[in-house]
Amino acid sequence: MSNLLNLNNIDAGYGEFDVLKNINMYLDKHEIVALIGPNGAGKSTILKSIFNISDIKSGKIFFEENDITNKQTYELLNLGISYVPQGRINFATLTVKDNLLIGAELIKDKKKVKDNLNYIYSLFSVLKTKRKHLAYSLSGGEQQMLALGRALMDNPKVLLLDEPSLGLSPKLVKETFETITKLAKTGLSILIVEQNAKQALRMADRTYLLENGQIALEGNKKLLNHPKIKTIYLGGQI
Amino acid sequence: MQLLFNSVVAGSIYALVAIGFSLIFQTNRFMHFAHGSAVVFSAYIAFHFFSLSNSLLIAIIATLILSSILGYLMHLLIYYPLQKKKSSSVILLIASFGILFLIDNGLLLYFGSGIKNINYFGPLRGMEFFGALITKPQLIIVLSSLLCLIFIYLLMTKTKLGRNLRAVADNNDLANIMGIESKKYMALSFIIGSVLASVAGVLIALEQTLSINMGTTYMIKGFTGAIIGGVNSVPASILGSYIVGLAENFGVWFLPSQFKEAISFILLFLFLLYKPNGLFGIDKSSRK
Repeated sequence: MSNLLNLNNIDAGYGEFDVLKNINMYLDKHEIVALIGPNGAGKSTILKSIFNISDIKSGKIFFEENDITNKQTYELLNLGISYVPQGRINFATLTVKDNLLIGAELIKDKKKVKDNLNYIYSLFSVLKTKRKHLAYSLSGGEQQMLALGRALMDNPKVLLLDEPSLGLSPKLVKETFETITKLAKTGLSILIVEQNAKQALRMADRTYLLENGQIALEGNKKLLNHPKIKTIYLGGQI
Repeated sequence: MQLLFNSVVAGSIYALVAIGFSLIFQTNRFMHFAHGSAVVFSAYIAFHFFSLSNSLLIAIIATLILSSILGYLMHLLIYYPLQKKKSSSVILLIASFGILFLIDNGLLLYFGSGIKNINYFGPLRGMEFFGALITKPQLIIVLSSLLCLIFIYLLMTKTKLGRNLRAVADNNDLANIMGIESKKYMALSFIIGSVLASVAGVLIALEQTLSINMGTTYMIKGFTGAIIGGVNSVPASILGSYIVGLAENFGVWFLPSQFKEAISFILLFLFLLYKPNGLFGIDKSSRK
């Protein structure tokens, strides 16, 4: 149990509605782990259950060996877990800079906040040029950069990403994946939900395939050659 | 000139009501119609403590404290338990009407329906000011609202607290994810809103005679101001409120003065029908 993040026998859903059944998974330090699977398999629900947004019915979640199952949503960032929800969600009526500063809400040291801001600006230079624009006026790709940048402002240990490539152009998808790989090299552990199975498998150290709320397959990059993955995701249907 | 000045006086009060209302609306996502009752409650409390102590200062302090407590209690005892049960905004709206009737009738029970006013300034003599007659309480209304508005503007734009409030107003789920405890800020907006309502209440008590049903009138005016400007933005609500003040006072140039109250309703209908985002409101759906 020396993993960074552990999900043990998680059953979760929304109210009466059950989605996840007996999920067991883990994330190690400096690891990129991908969650792939068809629509409605429960990929996003796993991230939401970590952040206490969906309802956990049974099972436990551990972060750095502490039980975080019943932590409130707003307490998790302070522990070092940052979450980028699906759909490029930002504070639409706030400026780019304010959005980023909210990401650093929990850091008291002003110099540190400034350093982090400059780091994000160096990562995504367009955010610097548009720092005074309101977030809703950005393009789709820029909004995704902002969401990612904001999630990084607090120096998290773990980053949960929910379909960062959704709705982006192929060029931007490629750039997004490059950025994620770059971030992992800085020592960040990343749990990423992805529709784009091929890209995800190539990038991730390990991958879980989810079907009907259960883990159907688990493995490293070799999973690319698994017959099931080949037929369902890479061969015929998509 | 006189009309312009009267508009500014009326607009100042509406603006105080409107920003409290719009702040609560933005962070809590429902129409808190009992906000008007908070204004009347404050006006009566100010009157009550002034009658008891004959000191305006004591009356003001008592009003500020009691109104903030009232605002917080409304949130804590009624709205928050409903929000926790994930009640729809319609349920919360109905609850707010319940609170409105409760407070209004409670005041009626305690104070009776007789006319009340604080006779602090004695008989009023207006001062000449660019050809307009201005009384002292009117001047106080304009100046103190202006101070409050500037204070709120600075609070919302220049401080961390204001940024967090705006973040919760924009998207409270995301705010929670970003480590901002949104329910704390939802309660805080009730307190700030109630403080503004109490300022409005004291100012009204200074200038006018009080009656129980004036709360609803002020609520409608403030609400109209917020809608005209754009309920999603505090500065826009302020501008909208001054527009209501202007429209009312200049409207009676052309219409019989009984229509004064109707003007803001007509404006409200027109804006709700044709420009529901208000003049300066942000339509977030314009780009996805």
